[in-house]
Amino acid sequence: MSNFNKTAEKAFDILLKEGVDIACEQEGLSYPPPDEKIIFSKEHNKKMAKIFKAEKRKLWHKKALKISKYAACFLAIIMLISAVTIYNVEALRVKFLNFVFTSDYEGTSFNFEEKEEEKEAPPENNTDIAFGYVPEGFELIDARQKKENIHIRYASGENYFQILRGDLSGNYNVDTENGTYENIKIDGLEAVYFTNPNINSVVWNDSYYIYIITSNISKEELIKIAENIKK
Amino acid sequence: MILFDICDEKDLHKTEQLYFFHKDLLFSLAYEILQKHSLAEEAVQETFIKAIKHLQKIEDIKSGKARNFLAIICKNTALDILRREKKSLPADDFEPFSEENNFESLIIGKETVRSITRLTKELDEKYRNVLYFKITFDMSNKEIAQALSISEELVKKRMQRARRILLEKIREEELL
Repeated sequence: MSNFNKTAEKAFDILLKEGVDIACEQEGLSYPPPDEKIIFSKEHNKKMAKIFKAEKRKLWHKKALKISKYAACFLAIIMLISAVTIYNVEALRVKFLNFVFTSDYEGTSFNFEEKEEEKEAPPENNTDIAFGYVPEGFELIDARQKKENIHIRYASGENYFQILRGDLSGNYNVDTENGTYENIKIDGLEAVYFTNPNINSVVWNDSYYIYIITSNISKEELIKIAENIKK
Repeated sequence: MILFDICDEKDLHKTEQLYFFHKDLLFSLAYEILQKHSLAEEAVQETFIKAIKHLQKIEDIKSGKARNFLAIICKNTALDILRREKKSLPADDFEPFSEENNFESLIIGKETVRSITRLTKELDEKYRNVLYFKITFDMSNKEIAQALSISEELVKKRMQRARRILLEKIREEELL
């Protein structure tokens, strides 16, 4: 069939629909109303009532099925909300840190929610950070600074620890996969200690910065390093 | 049914409303074919069993379309009952082979709609009914086959034939 023929056929079908619809309506209206009222038998009335009853039952079943689907969705939403609530309760446990952390399977992300007017300006000379305690055998292998953000790494063979000091407006990720955490204090400040088979971390903040130390050394050593940081 | 005589139409379900409005007409149409009260009632019952499946296709139960929809099913149901009762009425199942339609050289305009309406009404009832079911009520070949108690193949052939007849007649009129 040629393209023109196809186009003409489509146009014809559109007009056919219009014309046939009108014919259908007119033909329906052309049926004369019966001259007299029909008296139906009792048997017929019973059968019709049965037909309508069966139809209503069918519709009711359909409706019930639909409602049950909605109910299932509603239940799923409630369960989801409950899960989020439970999760939020966990988050509340570290609220003293003035940040919230959201956990996913890769790690934990920190977002500080401090209001702008509540923020204190950092001291002018804020680029220095030093370790008052460094475990024996560890050497400085990397130190970088970008504006107020500082990253310092020490290592001894395969062991290492590194500190990240960042401003409170940033987002920070800590590897917490398959790990646990506990609340501790660093230099009198509330902190969280995370540990998993790969890494130990301690996270805390003061009025100006967040501090994250990650390492593969023991918890005791890690806390000792954290407590002896000279800001 | 007493229920339908005393109830407010708004209280009734859509199927019941349809019945309420069209039962007398449907009975009359069936009776015209069957000439027996009980058989005509049977035709009305079967009509509604078939129509229930397609209720969503009826928007306005008082419309001509709704009335025609039920009337077509009712008349066909009555003819089925007549065939069953008399066992002599041949089944209307032969259709000539349909060739591909040629739409080239067809002049299509607003006047064509009026021509289609008029020519549709002049068509043989068996083609008209298939056209109404297929085009106006958007029913599948299977649904039409069930409603008219004919094969799907016959529905397909009648639809093709109906379109071709309309197309040829429109073309003939254009040449006049």
